Parts: sequence; structure tokens; C-alpha cells
Amino acid sequence: MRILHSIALFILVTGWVGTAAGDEPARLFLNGIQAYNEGDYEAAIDTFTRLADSGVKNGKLYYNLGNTFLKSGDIGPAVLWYERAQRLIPDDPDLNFNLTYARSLIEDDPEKQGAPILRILFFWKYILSAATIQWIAVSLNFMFWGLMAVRLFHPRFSPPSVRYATLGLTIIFSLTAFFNYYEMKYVREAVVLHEKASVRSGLTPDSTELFVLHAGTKVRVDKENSGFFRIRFTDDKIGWIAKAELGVI
Amino acid sequence: MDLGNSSSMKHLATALFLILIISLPAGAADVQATVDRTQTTVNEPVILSVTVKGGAGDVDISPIKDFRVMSRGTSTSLRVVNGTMSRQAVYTYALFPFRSGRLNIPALDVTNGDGNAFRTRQISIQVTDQPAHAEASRDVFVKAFVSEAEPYQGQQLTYTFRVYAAVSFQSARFQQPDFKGFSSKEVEERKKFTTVISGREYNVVELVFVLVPLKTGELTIGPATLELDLVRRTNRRRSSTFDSIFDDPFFSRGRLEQRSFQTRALPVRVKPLPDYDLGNVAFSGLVGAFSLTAELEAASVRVGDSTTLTVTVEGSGNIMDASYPDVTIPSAFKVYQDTPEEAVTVGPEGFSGKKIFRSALVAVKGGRFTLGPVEMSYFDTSTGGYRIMSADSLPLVAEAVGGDGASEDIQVFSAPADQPGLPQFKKNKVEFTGRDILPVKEELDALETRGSLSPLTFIIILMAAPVCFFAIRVVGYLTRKSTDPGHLMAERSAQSLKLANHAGVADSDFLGHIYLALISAILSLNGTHGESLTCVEARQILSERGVPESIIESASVLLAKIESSKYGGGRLNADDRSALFEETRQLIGELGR
Repeated sequence: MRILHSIALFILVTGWVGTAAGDEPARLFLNGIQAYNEGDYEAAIDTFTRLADSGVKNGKLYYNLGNTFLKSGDIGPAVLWYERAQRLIPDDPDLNFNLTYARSLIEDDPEKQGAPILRILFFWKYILSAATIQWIAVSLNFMFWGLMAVRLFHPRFSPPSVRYATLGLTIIFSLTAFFNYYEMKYVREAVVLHEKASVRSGLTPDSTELFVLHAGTKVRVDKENSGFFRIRFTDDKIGWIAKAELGVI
Repeated sequence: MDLGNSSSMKHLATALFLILIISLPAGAADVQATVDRTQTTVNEPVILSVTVKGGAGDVDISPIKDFRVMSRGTSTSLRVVNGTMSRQAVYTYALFPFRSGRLNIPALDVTNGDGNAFRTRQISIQVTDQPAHAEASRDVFVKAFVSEAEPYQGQQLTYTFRVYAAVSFQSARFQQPDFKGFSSKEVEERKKFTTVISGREYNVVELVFVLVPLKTGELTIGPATLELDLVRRTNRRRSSTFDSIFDDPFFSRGRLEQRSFQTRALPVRVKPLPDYDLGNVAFSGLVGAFSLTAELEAASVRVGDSTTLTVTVEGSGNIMDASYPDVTIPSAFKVYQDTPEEAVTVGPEGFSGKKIFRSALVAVKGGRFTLGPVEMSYFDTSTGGYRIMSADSLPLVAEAVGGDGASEDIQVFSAPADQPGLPQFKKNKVEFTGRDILPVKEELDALETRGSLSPLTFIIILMAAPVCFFAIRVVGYLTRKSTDPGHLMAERSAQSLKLANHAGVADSDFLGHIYLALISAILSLNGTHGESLTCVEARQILSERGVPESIIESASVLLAKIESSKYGGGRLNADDRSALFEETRQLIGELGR
């Protein structure tokens, strides 16, 4: 009886500790929401940033960070967090609305996006997140091999047209997933964080200033060296910029 | 060799010395810092050159605090003298003094490609203030000034940069100052003119920026810098009438001298706008000098028809910030505001132009009415006070539809534009009337990490499906083989042969096993089940399977022999038994090939 009592007590205590530990991020998150709604954006930024730093990778949390920075008038970090959110939830209408608004506040003319025809032809890449594309590829792959297995026993239930269509979609989504991996590893983009950032010809703060970018402007990062990024704004505008001036998406 | 000969000893020593010199490593590093002058003025830079012999290096210029440093690039050279290769890199910087007095270029740390550290020596520079009368004695100089040193917040002012040149120059590179605290816009048209200073003629190029202070207080417009290449003509021939034609560096083989210039930093004290004291009209936010006019397209309209009220705000200042003026419109009219039309230009005097606000007024009730007056307040920078600009009231008559003077009210509805009998309204694009962002997301699933799969996991999951498929296939294949009659018969043949080989098996059992082994081997070729075969059947099966006739014959004879022994009832001695087993085993082996 005493043993049973001890076991029950152990379960109760460990269960309570586990619940308390699990409630901590939720409590922080709700505090952040409350601070935001009360207009205390500094506190909201602090709270949401702590959650993001703790390893939470979620488009909604990033969206909230974007909102909070934008409300506090910090356009650079706002665009940075919106861009990070867009990689996770690209089809979220709230995010797209707010990001469009934030971009309208950026002083620099936006960099030319990729060819529109590519965005039309490979539309799924631009409207689905990388994770969604991966799971679609995995599902289609299982479907195709499942059809192949069915064909072994009941060929009538696995018509060739369905198999070929499934195989084609599997290949398309798998290649897209691999291209996304390539993009994530080798195509780095960043956002200017400060109000003004000088892009220079060299790796020293006194190098000739080539041009000036403003908060929120998105650039491509080509390489990094000695505390500087070599960035590309457009094909004819490249240069070196201090790492602290940028936030990598 | 006679070592006592002193002349020979000298030659030997000289030769050894030369060998030693020549064999010194080509990459031996040496670092040196030099300046083009040790005396300068606050507006003229000193050119610092750091020479690294033996290859490229990394120059740390951070200790330089008394000068603004601008890199002028790096030049490298490679020389081969008497078979010895030497490399040299020269790092050039333009140093603009921050103040007058004796300033120091401190010792600079230089690290070469091999990681070895060197240090240059300290250099002192005497910097004097630019004397006022010195301009005329200079070939090129720059100037910058603002139109208003103490503007109000929101008041536009101009920043003018001028370069005065008494000699030719080319490849000018201008770096505008940091207009922190201002919004800036460069006037596109650059002005060029000629002026005479102390009897010397200068060509002047003028750049103008329109600035609007964004905050109040003491602001500083940083120095602007200009780098250019002066054309210095070489005196290789006498002056002639063709000089003017060929007075161009392209023809004259002029020598180019790179020079840098810097203007002084300019302090600007931005004053806040005074408290607004015209309570009856709201402040429009305009700062500058403006005027306002208002007019009606028609002073009389029929009920249901529309007329256009046009209000024009004109002047210089932040005209683009003007918003719809407040106009008192009688309730007998529906008002539809159009998108304002802007015609603002930026010139040497700043932003100027006009903004036109149009509203369509639709009469919904008959009568005589008065619009306005139209009033707008702005801050007049010339007087330093707020003013109200206004346009007179406008009379407007709305005539009843019946034409008999009686009032007749109508209702205005939104309706399809092509519906006959109803007034046609201009459709307006839906514009944002306010801008804000959508709210934060409050769902707790925002705390769930939703990252993508790692490449390895993705590949493993992708490969899992084909692996499962091939596993199914293998299992199916194995299962199919076990139900195949041919396979079963072959197995039974091997099993029976194995039983027949056991010692101590009775003759009848032995004969039964080898019989079963033989017919099972024959039946496995046919792929059919069976418990017995006649010699004729065995022959037929083997013949159909293309078995050589000699083997068919052997099988037929052996089968007959086993049957006769089996059904004859005689006893088998050990030799007969062994021979019969061996014969059966060999035949089964041949059938199996």
C-alpha cells in the first residue's frame, strides 16, 4: 500500500513539474501578446525574442515579431522577421498583407525579383513552404510505390496513367525540395537593419562608400570576410557592408 | 690555392658576399609609411602611402584618430633584377584633418601574407587654418554653404556645393555629405558658370540639395569630399595658335595629378515650430509660402446632376504633404472626393508647385446654397508665424427636376453605370483611407517548432517507400517459389535421396525412397505433382523436356530396375544397395543440370 502511495505521489509530482515546464513558453507568449495589445512593444519584443532564441521555429511567432518591431518603428528588424516567417508560412494572408505594408515603408526601390515567368511556371515553389513541399514529395512517393505494390497483386487497381502521373508529380516535388535545400545552403539573403547602411568598396570602415541602403532593404549575400558581408543589391550594385548592419534571413 | 695571397682573399670575400646577397629570400618583407607633405591646411588632405615589400599585407588604420581616412586603393608591382624577384604593394590613403594644429599619424601595424607583424613609424603633420585670401592662389578649391542656418522644423533649405577650378580636371568623384536628421533630394540640374576671384577666372560647377529638417536641435551636415584628376600640362613645346584646339589631355599628353578636397562640416540649428494659436482652423502641417484658390465648375446644377469643386494649393515648401482642405458643404449635396493631383518640382529654390483637390458634388435637394469659405492654415517661414489662407464662399444653386421652382428631393444610389435613366457616376479605385498592419496571432500553436526535414531524413524517408516495395517483391518471390510444384518435387527428390542414404533403413523403405527421389526429379522437370510414374510416362516427360536420349534411356532402365527390386521381394546386399543409390544419385544430378 505504501509502495502504491509512493508511486502515485511520484507520478503526481513529475507530472506537475512537466506541466509547469511546458506552461512556461505559453505564459511568456501570452505575456507578449498582452504587452503588444497594451502598446508596450519593448516588452513584447523582449518576450517574443526570448521565445525565438529558445529554439522555437514557427512562422506565426516570427510574424508576431515582425508586427512588434513594425509597431515600434523599427522597419529593418520588422522586415527581417516577416521574411523569415514567409519562408515558413508563405501562403499566410495576414503575413503577406503586413509584409507588403512594411515594404512600402522601405526607402530604397526594391531589388528586381526573379523573372515573373519563372514564378508562374514554378508557382508551387513560391506559394508552398519548404516543409510542405517535402511532405507532398514524400506522400506522392509513397503513393507511387504503393501503386507499384498493388500492381503486383491486382493490376486492375493500378492503371498505368495514374502511376505515371504520380511518378511525374513525385519527381517534380522531390526536385523542388532538393532545390530548396540548395537555396537554403547557398543562396543567402539578408535585410538591412539600421536606418542607413553604407556599402563600401573594401573591408575597412573608411573604404570608399559606393552607395547607401536603408532599413528593410533586402540583399543577397555573396560571401563573408573579416566582419563584413559582400552583398549584391542589383547586378550593378555590389559591395562590402559590416555584418552588424545586416540580419540574415 | 695560396691562402696567403691577400688579393685572392679579397676576391673570395667579395664573391661570398654577393652570393649571400643574391640568395636572400625574395619575399623578405619591409614596411614603410610615407606622406606627400608634412604641412597642410584643414581642407587639404595628406596622402599616406604604406609600402609593403615582399608581397601584400594587411594595414590596420584604426589608430588614426586625427584624420578622416579614405582609401585610394592599392597598387602592386613585381620586379625581376638579376634573376631575383621582388614584390611590392603600396596602400594609399587620403587623410583629411579634423582640426588644425600638430596632428599625428600614429605607428600602424602591418601584417604580411606570412603572418609576420611590422610597424611603421609615427609621422607628425602640421595643419593650419585656411587663410581667407588663399583661395585666389589655388587652382581648384571647394565650398559648401546652406541657405538657412537656423530653419524651422519642416522648413526647406538648400545645401549648395561648389567646385571652383582655374585649371582643367577630369574624373571627378563626388561624395555627398551625411544629411543625418534631414530628408534630402538633389536638384537634378547642375549649374555651371564662370566667376572672377581676385582677377583670376574660375569655372564653377554647382550642386544643390534640398533639405527638410526632420527634428529640432543642433544638427551637423558632414563634410562633402571631391576627388579629381588635375590636368597638368607638360611644357614640351612653345605656345602656338593650335594650343586652343589641342588644349585637351587627350592631345596634349598632360600629366594627371590626383587631388582630394573636403568642405567644412556645417552646423544647422533647427528651431521647433511655435505653439499653434489659430484655434478656429486646424493646422495643415504645411511649412513655407502658399496660396489657395477655389472654384466651381458650374454655379447652378439640376438636382441629380453633379458639379466639380476644385481647390488648388500653390506655393513653395512641403506642398506634397497638403491634405484635403476642410470645406463646409451643405447636406443637400453628396460629396465624392477624387485623388489629388500633384505638380511639384524641385529646383534650386526647393520644392514648389501645386496640389489640386477635386470633389464631385451631386445635388440631392433643390435650393440656394453657399459653399465654404475654404480655409487652410500653414506656417509662414518668412514671418515666423501661422497664417490662414482662404478662398471666398461660393454660391451654388440646385434646381428642382420639375423646373417649376418647387423643391424635389432625390435619393442617390450606387447603381450599374450603364443603367439608363440614372445619373452616371465616375467609379473610383478603392484607396486605403488609413494604413495599419493586421494583428498578431494569438494561437498557442505559434510555439510549435515547424522546421523542415533535414536533407538526410528527407532522403531516408523517400527511400523507405522503394525499399518497402522491393521487400514485398522479395517476399512474394520467395512465397511463390515454395508453392511451385516443380520446386516442391525437386525438394522432395532431394529429401527422399537423403532418407535413402541413412544406414539401417530397411530394403523396402530404401527402394521406396529412391523410387520417390527418381520420379520426383522427373516430375519437377514437368512442374507437376505426382506420386508414381510408369516408364512410358517418364520417357514422355523427359522427351518433352528435351532431355538427351541417353539419359532418358538410363532413367527408364533405372526406374524399371527399382520397380522390379521393389515389387520382386528379393533382398539387396550392401553392394547392390550402394550401386543402386549411386546410380540414382548420379541420374538425378544429370536431370537437375
